[in-house]
Amino acid sequence: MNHFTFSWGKNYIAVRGLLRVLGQDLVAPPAINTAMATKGIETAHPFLCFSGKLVLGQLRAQLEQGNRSMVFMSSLGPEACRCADTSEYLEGAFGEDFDGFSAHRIGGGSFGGALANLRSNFGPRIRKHDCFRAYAMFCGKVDLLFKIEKQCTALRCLSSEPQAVQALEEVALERVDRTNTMVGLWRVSRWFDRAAERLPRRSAPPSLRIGIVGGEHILSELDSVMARIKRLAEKGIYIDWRSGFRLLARSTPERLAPLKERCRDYLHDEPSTSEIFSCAHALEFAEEGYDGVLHVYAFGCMPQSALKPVLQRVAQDAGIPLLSLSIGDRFAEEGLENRLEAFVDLLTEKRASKRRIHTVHTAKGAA
Amino acid sequence: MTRENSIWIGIDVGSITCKVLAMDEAGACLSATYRRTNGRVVEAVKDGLEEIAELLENRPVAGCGTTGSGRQLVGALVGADVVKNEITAHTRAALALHPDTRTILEIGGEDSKIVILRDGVPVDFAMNAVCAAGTGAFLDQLAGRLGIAVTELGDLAMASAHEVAIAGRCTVFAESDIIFKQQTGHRREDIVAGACRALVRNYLNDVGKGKTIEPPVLLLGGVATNRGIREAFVDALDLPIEVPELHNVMGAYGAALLARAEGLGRSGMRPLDAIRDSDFRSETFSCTHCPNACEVVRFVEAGKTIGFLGGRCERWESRVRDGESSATVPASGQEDRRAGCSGGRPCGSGLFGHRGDL
Repeated sequence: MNHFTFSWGKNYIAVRGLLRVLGQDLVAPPAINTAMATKGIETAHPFLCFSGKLVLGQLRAQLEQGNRSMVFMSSLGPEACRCADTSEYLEGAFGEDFDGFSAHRIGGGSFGGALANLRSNFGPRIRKHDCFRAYAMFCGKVDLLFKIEKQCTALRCLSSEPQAVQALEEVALERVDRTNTMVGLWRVSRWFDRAAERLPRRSAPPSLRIGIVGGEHILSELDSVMARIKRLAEKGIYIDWRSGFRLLARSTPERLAPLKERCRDYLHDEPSTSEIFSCAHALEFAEEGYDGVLHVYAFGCMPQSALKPVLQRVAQDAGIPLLSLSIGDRFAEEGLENRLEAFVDLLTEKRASKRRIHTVHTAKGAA
Repeated sequence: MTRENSIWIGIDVGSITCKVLAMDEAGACLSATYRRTNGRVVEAVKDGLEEIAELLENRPVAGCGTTGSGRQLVGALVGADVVKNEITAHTRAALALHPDTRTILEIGGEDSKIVILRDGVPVDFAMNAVCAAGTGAFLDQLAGRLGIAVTELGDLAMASAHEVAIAGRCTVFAESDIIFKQQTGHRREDIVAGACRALVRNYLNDVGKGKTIEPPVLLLGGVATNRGIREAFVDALDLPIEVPELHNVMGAYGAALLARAEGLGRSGMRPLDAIRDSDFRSETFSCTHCPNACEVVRFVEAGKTIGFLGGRCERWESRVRDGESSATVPASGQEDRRAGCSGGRPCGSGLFGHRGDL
């Protein structure tokens, strides 16, 4: 049976990989466009974050195309997002308008929970072994998709042929989607590494290095942000981010513990995974000498909005410029362009002044 | 190499006003104009240039820069050499006139910003986000409600003896509060003084939140003319506030400085006659090439397309930049579906039916 889902960027490829292991399939979601965003804004509760509104618009467009069986992946536990676990809400939003609509939540906070979800959605005969294989495929694809997207963004800055990077990215994503075995994924990963290595490099080093933190998935939602980020990369700015699809791939407490420890001066009580990642990565970028940190989040995302002043303090203590961008339906594109351009100007000026100071010191030393 | 007597032109087109400035090689302001656009940006720029026509016609233009929210449109109209955001332009201007500045507060018609500088280098900035309550629009609304010119607000505020508290968090709520205060018999000057303080409070709580404001502090933008606002800032910050002479044209001055820094020597700015006679207009269409369905603005003059704005890829902009003749650029309603984005790159042709660009 063909199900449908929403997609942040290309993450539907991972969901499709999971379903294929179980003998199911998934139609590719359409790109979110302005019309869908408008529908989502009309449909959604005003308190839903902008990402949630976009997702609703995209789901509605697919329902209007005749799809009825919706699958969506959400995790529970520390990564739980009030906007990601919306099955009951979706039933309410769409159930009356579309006969036969059904929402199947997959994923879960534990293996047992995930198995129970799969069985309730796709039949009681699903074995533990099938569940394990399906989630292994899902996690493998999530990791590989993240690696491809992240490295291709970096390569747009490092390579002298951004068009070749674009082509590589498209072929790599297609290969990930076609692959249905773990060995196959490993081969795609190796092939991608070699192909990336063969791309011709620019002779000049990156003019700036910017690290991105926050709800990075928002980057993949409306092209407006990611397209601009890629344009910056093509102009020689190295762009880095360190976590993706966080809401889909569960982070183990062991992985989170050192990051949480790193943020202990800034985050108190029980911070969410999203807050821990953002704060820890901002600190990492500062320690590694990045020129600036870009904090992106969906308008209305409570944890990330609350994190804004925390990151300001991190940036102040670490002496690294920070730009917080809330992406949403109330934020004109012109404003986005303005802020990004001004931020790049600021970082460029700051780096140039460092160079001037260094030159003066060197000259004094020589004297 | 610039010719003798060269001048640099800066144009700042904001949401409410248009500023045009001419500067000489030493950075001295030769002439500056400040006018409301009243929604007619092109005409306002033409009128502004007319005011400095004598300079434009008698001295060689070595560079032209545009800034402000209308910078792209005006850049295409006048043939600007540099098109820059207003944060960078204001910072450049402030540092040129006051190199020791550590904080810039700028309040424009519908946006406001703060720039933090240390040792002559910008290190942080912020702009207002989704609300215009801490901007000139708030004062416009107030003046309209009180039936006076916005320029009278400052003197009125200074005449206040018993300032009243106004809810300034939102322009709409502020208006309700002002009506209430009027109906409870408060004097006009007391209401205006309270509104000035509300604007400043809002600005500092929104734009200035989390920023370390250190002196010297420059207050820029048209709103800086208002003495009531200046005094409210002094009280709120407990710091001296400097308002430079060119405070309301600093964006234009910065744009001229940025143009000078390009060091082109010869400007691409069009002759005044050409600008004057231009039938420049803009049209909007939805690009149908990929599912993004970008709303693209096309700048047209004498039946020819001279520029594009608003596409998320470079599909349209690159055509003009790469010198494609206007004949190959489709007219309105005839968007070309054949060519690829970004110079031939496939876009949205859809990996798995999905957009090509993440």
